[in-house]
Amino acid sequence: MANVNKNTYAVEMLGITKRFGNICANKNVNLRIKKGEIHALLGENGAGKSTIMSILFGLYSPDEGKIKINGKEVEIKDPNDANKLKIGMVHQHFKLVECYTLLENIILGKETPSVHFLQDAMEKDDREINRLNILSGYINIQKRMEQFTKLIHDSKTEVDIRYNLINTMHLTPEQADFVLAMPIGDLKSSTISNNFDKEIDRLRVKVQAKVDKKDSRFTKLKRKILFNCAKALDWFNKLVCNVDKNKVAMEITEISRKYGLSVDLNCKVEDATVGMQQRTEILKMLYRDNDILIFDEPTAVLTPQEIEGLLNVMRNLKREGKTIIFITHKLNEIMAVADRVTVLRRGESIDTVDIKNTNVAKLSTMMVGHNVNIIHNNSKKKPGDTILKVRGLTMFDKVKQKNSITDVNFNIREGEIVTIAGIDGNGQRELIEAITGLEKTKLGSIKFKNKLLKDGDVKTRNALGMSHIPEDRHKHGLVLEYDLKQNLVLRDFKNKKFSRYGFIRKGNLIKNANELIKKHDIRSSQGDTSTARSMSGGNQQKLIIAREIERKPDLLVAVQPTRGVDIGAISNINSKLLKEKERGAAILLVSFELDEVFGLSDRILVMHDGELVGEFDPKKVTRKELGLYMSGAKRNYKFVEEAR
Amino acid sequence: MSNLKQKINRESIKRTFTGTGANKVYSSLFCIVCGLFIGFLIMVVLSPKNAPFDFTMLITGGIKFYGLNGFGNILSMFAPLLCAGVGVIFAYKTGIFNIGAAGQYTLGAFGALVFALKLNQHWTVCLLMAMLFGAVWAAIPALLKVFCKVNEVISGIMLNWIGLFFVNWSLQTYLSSIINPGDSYKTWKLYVYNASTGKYDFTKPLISKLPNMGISNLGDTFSIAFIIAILVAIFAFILMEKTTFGFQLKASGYNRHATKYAGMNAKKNCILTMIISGAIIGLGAGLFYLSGIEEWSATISSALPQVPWNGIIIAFIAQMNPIGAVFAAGLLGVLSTGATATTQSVFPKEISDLITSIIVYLSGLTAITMRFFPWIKKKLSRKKVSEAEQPLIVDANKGGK
Repeated sequence: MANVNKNTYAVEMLGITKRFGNICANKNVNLRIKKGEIHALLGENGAGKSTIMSILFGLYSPDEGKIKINGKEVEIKDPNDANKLKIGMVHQHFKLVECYTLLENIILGKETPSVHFLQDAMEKDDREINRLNILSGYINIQKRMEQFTKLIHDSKTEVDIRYNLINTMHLTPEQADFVLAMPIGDLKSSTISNNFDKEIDRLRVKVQAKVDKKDSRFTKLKRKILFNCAKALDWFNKLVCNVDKNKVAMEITEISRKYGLSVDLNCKVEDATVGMQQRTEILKMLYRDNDILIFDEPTAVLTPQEIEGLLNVMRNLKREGKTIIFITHKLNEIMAVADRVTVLRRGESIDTVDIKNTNVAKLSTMMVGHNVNIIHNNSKKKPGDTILKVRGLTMFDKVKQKNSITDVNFNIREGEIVTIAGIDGNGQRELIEAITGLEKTKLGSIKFKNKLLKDGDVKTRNALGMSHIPEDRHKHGLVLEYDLKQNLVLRDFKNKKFSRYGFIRKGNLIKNANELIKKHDIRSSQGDTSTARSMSGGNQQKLIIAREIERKPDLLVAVQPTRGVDIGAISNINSKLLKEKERGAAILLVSFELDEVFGLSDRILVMHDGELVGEFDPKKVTRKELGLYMSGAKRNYKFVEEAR
Repeated sequence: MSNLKQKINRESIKRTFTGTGANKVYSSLFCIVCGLFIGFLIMVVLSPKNAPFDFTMLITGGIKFYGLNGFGNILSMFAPLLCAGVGVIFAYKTGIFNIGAAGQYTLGAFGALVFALKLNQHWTVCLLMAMLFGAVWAAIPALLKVFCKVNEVISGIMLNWIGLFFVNWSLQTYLSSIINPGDSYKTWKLYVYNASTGKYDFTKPLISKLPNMGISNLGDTFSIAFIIAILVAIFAFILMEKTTFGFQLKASGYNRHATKYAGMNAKKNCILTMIISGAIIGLGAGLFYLSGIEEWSATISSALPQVPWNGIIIAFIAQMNPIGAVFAAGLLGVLSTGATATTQSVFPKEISDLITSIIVYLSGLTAITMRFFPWIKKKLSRKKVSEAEQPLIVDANKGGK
């Protein structure tokens, strides 16, 4: 009986503790996931959800505790181990090669040929095996390249090469001819083949080591490596093996039909929608026969319609016997799809409950630790004069060689919260950079308080009273090495209050810091002398908001002000924004969370593909309708210049 | 109340000895001790018999050998080293690696020498000209960096050689009159030259020689230079830590994007930093050549001067702190003077360079040593705690759901 009991759990993580320096990310976390269930992992940002899943996926190793998969205790050292245990993960940021088609992305990196491929191959002749090997993940690519290089070197004449290609490399005569059609000088030159050989060798090692590391520092390197690798493989592909992808494609199509994952396999990643990219990631896991599927905040980047589709897919997967771990902080999604839910708070597992026995209110209380009041914009204040005018704003993206935003027109008035809604990456960032003076524009004008703003002139904007809560607080908002009091005057250090005759008035800085610490409840280990780096994300955000709001701005540009902040702080931040509105500040808010968009705005502008496509009153529009505009299915925006 | 005061005092004292600043000092000391030890081992390998005596000679700066003159020598070596170090640190704090220090130093030396020997100006004028020449030479890579996005390391290295050859060419052509007639490739000594006897009158220094404040028993080269250098270090420290200018500079060194976001003028700051850095390095050159330790040798094949390179070394040993640089420059001053007092037939003069480079290599690992100390502390403290902690962990495991 005990044996059977054990086997009902697909994953058991017992007493997991993980420390990063002095910070305890996971403290004695217990997680038991039954086979074939959808198990939600609920918690605020920074509660340790991603850490515990990274441990399961082999990205981190736990300091204490043990992991059991299907009742067997295992040690997961890296993602390869996780793959062997049939654990797959869809990361929040997709890991796809941009210049490759979706099909190629699914095949890519599958190092070991699946069993039935080999069995198939065994029945056929040698030549077929070799081709299938390449087909199913380019298994012996290094070995083959060595062979190939040697062969090219040893051969003296074209006839020799052709003969060798057919007999040693098991190519068809047509393929051999194709190879020979390449300029013979290239093939013969040792540099190309040697370099290629080395390149492949290097890339294989690096890709294996780093492809799944989540560390953002590697992202750029990783992309480059993946890109190079893909290019190299592509080259090799064309050169020696005319891969017949149809068979794999058919197989994948079958899988996708089974689970309702519609993708266009021949579409390139850069052309595919975000939803399609996500489905590709799911297919990647399924193609590898993974049984335990981890979804890390999968709905963050999707439109309401796409979220519904994803939840259906998850139900289908469950029906086929897959075990799903669903990380999220959105309660309604959990209620819709999950069987059980484990709540994490401050790195500890609070409880695991059946969805049947709970409701949204209970879960949110469990997640936060106290009751949550959700902030709503009930203000009756009438907007005043127009304070910001954006006309015909167009920006050009040099990397993508196209306009990132095109002909954007809108106004903001005093005491009005205007929200730009839309899916991440549709030009919101560029628009904000233009308004706040961080980037150069191509066409159009921005007028703030009837003054034409110049590109890149942040100083004037400061002086005129524009504040900016940036999207990336580490990149823009803070100097991490500076301490709290210095970061609080990053914009206003030249103010008479903080400096005299070019000397910083340290006493006033400390006084200012202590005032704001009290007023905005900024917590840190050493008060005004604690470095920004040592503070938690939520408190860093509080610091920035304190700095920007205390300037009493006339226009507050807030980009995702509640990102990475726990729920208690979210309501705090939102109420501060509303207070600013009451004071008469105009607020331009960019948010990807529909709750926030509906809760705060006086007016919603929807952005799609660099253009404004709709303007709504939040009280007169449904989420579904908004979703259609966000995905670009509908558009209807006419800017009317107000009459004077 | 008094109790509270005591508490704060105790805490602040504790922090000075355990904070990150203290860790930096510990790790630097650690590197220095290790570097000296390895250097000693090398000396033992070279000559076991002479090693102990010569090593003490080396690390005492040859005081035993030179007497009080040696102390004067150390001080006058220390001044230019400190200036070069502070100059490099100043640029580094803003995120610029001023590898063009050698070029700025060369130009600074040129400025000082031309105004001292050709135009016979007062030493204050000469030092100001040294600063001006250094600043101009430093401004070039800064302007290139800001307006043409040329990497300052590349342009800096180029300008080093351009500067050197320009100076040597000048001295051999239209400025050949400041080449010492008695020593056909070196510049004059800073004393009145008696053409009829072909000798210097060592009782009559030029007005361009740095004054020795009436202290004559510390040797000929002793001068006011070390005071100027220390003042410069303090000036740099105040500028960086206490002013809005320094606030901006350091911010742009740490996070360029944040300075742009906050509306600081990054381009202006970059150029200003380099100008100040170059001026300080140029001043160092002035202090070196106007104290009369060495004369400039204007041969075409001559290498770049050694002092600015040691300045980079000092910057790293001092971990980019101008006050730390005072001590690092002192160390290098002692070592380089001491090296000349070792038994030359057994140990080459370069032994001091060897030791300093070992120290730098080790301080390149300061990131590791910085972690090493807290780690040891943690290990020690954990050993004590672990016994108390263990039952807790067992409990926690049982308590899991």
